[in-house]
Amino acid sequence: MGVVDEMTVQRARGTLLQPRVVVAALMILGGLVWAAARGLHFYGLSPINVAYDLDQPPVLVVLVGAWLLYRSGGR
Amino acid sequence: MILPHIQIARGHWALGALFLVIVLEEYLPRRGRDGRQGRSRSQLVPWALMLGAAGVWATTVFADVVHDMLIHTLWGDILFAAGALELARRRGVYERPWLDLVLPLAFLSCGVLFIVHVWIHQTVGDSWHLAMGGLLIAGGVIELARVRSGRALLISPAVLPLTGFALVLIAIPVAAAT
Repeated sequence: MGVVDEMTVQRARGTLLQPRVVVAALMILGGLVWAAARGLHFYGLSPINVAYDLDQPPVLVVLVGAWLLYRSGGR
Repeated sequence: MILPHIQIARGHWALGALFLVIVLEEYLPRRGRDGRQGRSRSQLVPWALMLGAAGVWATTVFADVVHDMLIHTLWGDILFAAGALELARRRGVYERPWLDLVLPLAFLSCGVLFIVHVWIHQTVGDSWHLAMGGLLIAGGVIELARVRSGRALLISPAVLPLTGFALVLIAIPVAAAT
């Protein structure tokens, strides 16, 4: 049981130390800090306004970070 | 046709995010099924290059300054050619040793065009253009040197200036985006 736990911990550690996971985490954190410092503008919920809501620098950084996290899995 | 400045900035931000996706997908290693890390070589990169080319070409329609129209057209041409060649290679329909130079040369030539842009048409955004051109040239030169040396590094050092370029493009303020 202890061996299994150790392997699980090592696997989790290996996953967390992947370059993509590290960079993605930094981007998501940086984007959130940027959003808090700069502020975000809410344009509305219609399709074109949702595009404007998302096309703001901090949001784009968080979105790219989230995509990178999704793409960090096995090929 | 003249777009409001915020619209121009939005276009730059979206292209910056797209370029960030290209750089990170291409140069950050991905874990394979065997647990080893390596380049993904996904078809996302060439498609994203061609999508970016279409976005840059749109400036030719919306811009009202001939220098902007010319430079953006050339950027679009380079990005589309690089995307097409990479797509052909990744699909396995065209394989030549010199194709390794396509992406570095595309980055390098796009960076040179930034410098030409500043040279032929001074604007309030010149410092941004120079910074972005310098970062692209640095990324292209570093990647060219790595490819020519034949060294297979897990992460290419070119990822730093190229990521910096994309982040500068995303962070470009509205006033400097004209």
